[in-house]
Amino acid sequence: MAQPVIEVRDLRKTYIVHERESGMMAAMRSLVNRKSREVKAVDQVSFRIDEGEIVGFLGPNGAGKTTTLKMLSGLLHPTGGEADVIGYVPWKRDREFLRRITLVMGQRNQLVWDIPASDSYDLNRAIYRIPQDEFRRTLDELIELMELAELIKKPVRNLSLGERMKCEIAGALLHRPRVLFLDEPTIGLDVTMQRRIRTFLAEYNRRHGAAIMLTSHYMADVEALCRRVIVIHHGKVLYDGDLSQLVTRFSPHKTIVVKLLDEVSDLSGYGEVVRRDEDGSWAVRVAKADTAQITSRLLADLQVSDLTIEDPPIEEVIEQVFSVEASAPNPEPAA
Amino acid sequence: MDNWRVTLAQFRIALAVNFQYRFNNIIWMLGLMVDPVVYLAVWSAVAKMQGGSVGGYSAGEFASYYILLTLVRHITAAPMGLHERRIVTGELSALLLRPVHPVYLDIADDLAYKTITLLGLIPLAILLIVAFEPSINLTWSSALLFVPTILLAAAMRFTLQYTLGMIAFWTTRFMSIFQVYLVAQIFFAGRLAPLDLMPEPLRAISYLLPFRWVEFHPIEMLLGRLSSAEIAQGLAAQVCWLLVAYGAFWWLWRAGIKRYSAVGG
Repeated sequence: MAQPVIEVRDLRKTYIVHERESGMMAAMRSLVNRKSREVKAVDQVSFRIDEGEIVGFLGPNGAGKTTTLKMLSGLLHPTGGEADVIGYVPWKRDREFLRRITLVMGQRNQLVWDIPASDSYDLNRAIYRIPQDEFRRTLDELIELMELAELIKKPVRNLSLGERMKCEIAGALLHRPRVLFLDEPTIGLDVTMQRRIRTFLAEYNRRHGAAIMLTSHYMADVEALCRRVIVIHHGKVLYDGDLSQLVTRFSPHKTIVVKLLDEVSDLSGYGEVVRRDEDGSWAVRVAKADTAQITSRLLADLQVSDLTIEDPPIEEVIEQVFSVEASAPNPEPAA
Repeated sequence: MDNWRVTLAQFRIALAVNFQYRFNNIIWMLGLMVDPVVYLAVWSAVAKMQGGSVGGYSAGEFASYYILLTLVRHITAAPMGLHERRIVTGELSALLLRPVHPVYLDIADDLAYKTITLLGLIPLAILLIVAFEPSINLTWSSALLFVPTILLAAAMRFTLQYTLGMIAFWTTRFMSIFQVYLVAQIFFAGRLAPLDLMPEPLRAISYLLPFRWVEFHPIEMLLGRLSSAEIAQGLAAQVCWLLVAYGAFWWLWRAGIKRYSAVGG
């Protein structure tokens, strides 16, 4: 059985937010009578992640993703609940704990701006107390996997955003962390660079069995890397399970795309027409349960040259999850 | 021991970075040297007008006092507002993820900066010596004693300012609080005038504040103006301040991090 590396029970984080209206009078009033309210950034979150798992952590802005990652990497003290990450309580910030994890935030940099990344890596070797031969081996491996050989010799300020991000990620992995928390690791990068980083993360995970928890706004990242996703919204876990199941469970529709040989003026009798192209292609959205029946009707009624049945894009499904939560405040417990 | 290895690694990096910015650094350092030179010019002019000396200081003694002040100020200079900037920019979070206290890196940065700028300080000192003809009468014993005294002074100021900077964990207006410290320093470190020339109440207060022991005391000691009892008193004061600052350092750091991790970075 796989070993759990992260176990979280009823984790909570509440912020006290002070509020005042704009304007001078409001500023004066707030000196005497300060209004504040509680914001539940993370509300009773529980999950478990095993060794070697890559888990996508999804949710809209302000859902509590970053707050959770910060608690699990020891930067934030929770309001309540428990967490165990590789046998440590993260927010005690034990040196041994910090030496075995990493948190990469898309917009933060650890590398020194004015010198080549390789010099910063030497510093990391001292900070993480990495033995020289192990350091050499890991660095060579990272250089090979991410094609860094030329980049790490240049001063960091001369690198492009994507190149810098590659160097940042390499720097964050030199100590071979067992757990990786990645907060938007591909933000702002072009498609090729995103793909390169994705491939690398998958390979790192395969080689070293590190557990990865990843947030991203790019669904391509999630689809490429994560079999499992945890969806969080307003601080609560809405879904925890297979990515494929998420689609089945939350999307009540499928899209039938047909290419017709005949000239047809309308297909709305079959379902909701979402697209019609010049070349005779139509996209019709139908209820999932009716898909088979409508497909056979289409094939019987019309001259079809091509037909495919598609799941809606994952973005759409995620949106669906959030709207389900809005209409039903107490969803059934996540799987 | 391993922590000091981090300091050494960071020192090499900081040396490279400071070397890249050597001209900026030296100009910045020269800027800090403007006011001692102005005071020196004023006081030597006054001494000459008064027939050779003011309050027991001749023009040549003023010259040696202020030339040494530039040196002492440079050696004991310490960072300020470090934590405030890191809290505002979020840089602190990145530092806290590392399994080493950031102070080990900050010490390295400080030493590297001083090493590089020392290159600019030496020609400046020579220039001042030529221009103002200080009366220098160093003895071996005071020169030898100066080494631990100045090192203690530097350690004391670094710890004190680093610790004071932690106030930034509780307020976003740290720099305005720090202004008070900086103004007090001008009076009580002996920058405006050697403390002997200050009115009695100010001089009495100067014994209770840290500034005297960082700048005035090491200079006076090197100039051979202190009795053995006064040297011992200075040593005791420096050690006391260092211990107090060191205790406060850990206490405030723990409390500050607790607060920081409660509200988020």
